[in-house]
Amino acid sequence: MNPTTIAQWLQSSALGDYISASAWVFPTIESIHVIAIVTVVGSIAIMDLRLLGWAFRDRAVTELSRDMLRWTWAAFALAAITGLLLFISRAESYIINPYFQWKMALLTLAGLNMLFFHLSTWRTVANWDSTAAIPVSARAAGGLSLAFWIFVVFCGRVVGFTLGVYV
Amino acid sequence: MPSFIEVLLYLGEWIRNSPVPELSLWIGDQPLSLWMGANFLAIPILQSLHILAIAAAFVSALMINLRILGIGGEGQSLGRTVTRYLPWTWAALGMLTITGLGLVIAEPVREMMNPMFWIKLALVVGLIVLGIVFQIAARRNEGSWATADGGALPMRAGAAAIIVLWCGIIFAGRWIAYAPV
Repeated sequence: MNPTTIAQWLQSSALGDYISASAWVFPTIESIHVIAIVTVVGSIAIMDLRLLGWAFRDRAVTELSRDMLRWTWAAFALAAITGLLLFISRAESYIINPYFQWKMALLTLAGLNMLFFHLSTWRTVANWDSTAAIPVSARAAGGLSLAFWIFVVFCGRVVGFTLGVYV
Repeated sequence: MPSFIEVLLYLGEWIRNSPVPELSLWIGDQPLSLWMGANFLAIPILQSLHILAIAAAFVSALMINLRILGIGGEGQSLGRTVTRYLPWTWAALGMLTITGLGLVIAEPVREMMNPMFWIKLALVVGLIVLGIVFQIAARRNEGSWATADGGALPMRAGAAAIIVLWCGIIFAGRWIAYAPV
């Protein structure tokens, strides 16, 4: 089973067929995908700006994290489900699109950055929760996260213009 | 009762009989519009900035409204929540106006001849009016919600309405690409 075979199978499945055959199903799922993505990116950006020390300094890092995280994850789940449905409808075109590939790579990098941050830097958060001196590792995590997500949005948007170009 | 498609077609007819077609063609002939049309990445970059500004405006408004609904930002006053997020909402709305104008200049016919574009604009005006009225009402009742878990029922209804209107605007924005012109 190589990726192309899986993509072909997904695209020709009943669900893939249903999404691509209808005039309104794809745009509706896509609209929900946009609502989910702006919620993910917006809530993550608030944390990133806080970690960089650029904004929201009146709220402790742990409190702001608690304010955001449940919405970030709920919206991420919605974005993943709707994204998968969009993918299924034209899997063969998505999988070979370089902007789609970059988007997935950047999502992975954003995930690894977050994982590393939570396993290492986050352990000392009590020391800099409400202070002005945020460690470099936390600032770096915030800056990288912000950059990764901005390019996730950009690559996702370009996919809309280039889908089918590389077939 | 006309269907939504019929409303769109009727609006489209009305747009075609207005000065909009001529204006959109004129904008399309301007150097900035021609330049953006000739550069493949200009529109996706502007759209990405537009989406990032939506993320900032939507989530900062969402955090305030979730606080009013009593399901977010627990343990702090609504006043502090508003002070923290509201400037971001308005700044992002400024950015949305600039990038939105840029997108109209880049593709004036696609946007201005599209009934969905005007529906979206009407919803945006509605959101801004509702938002301002809501802010004034909220300030007037500041004492009653400053420390409570959430707002009174009319406040909660207003907060929910603003979130729903935002989602409607995002829907309408995405559907500009699909509406029959």
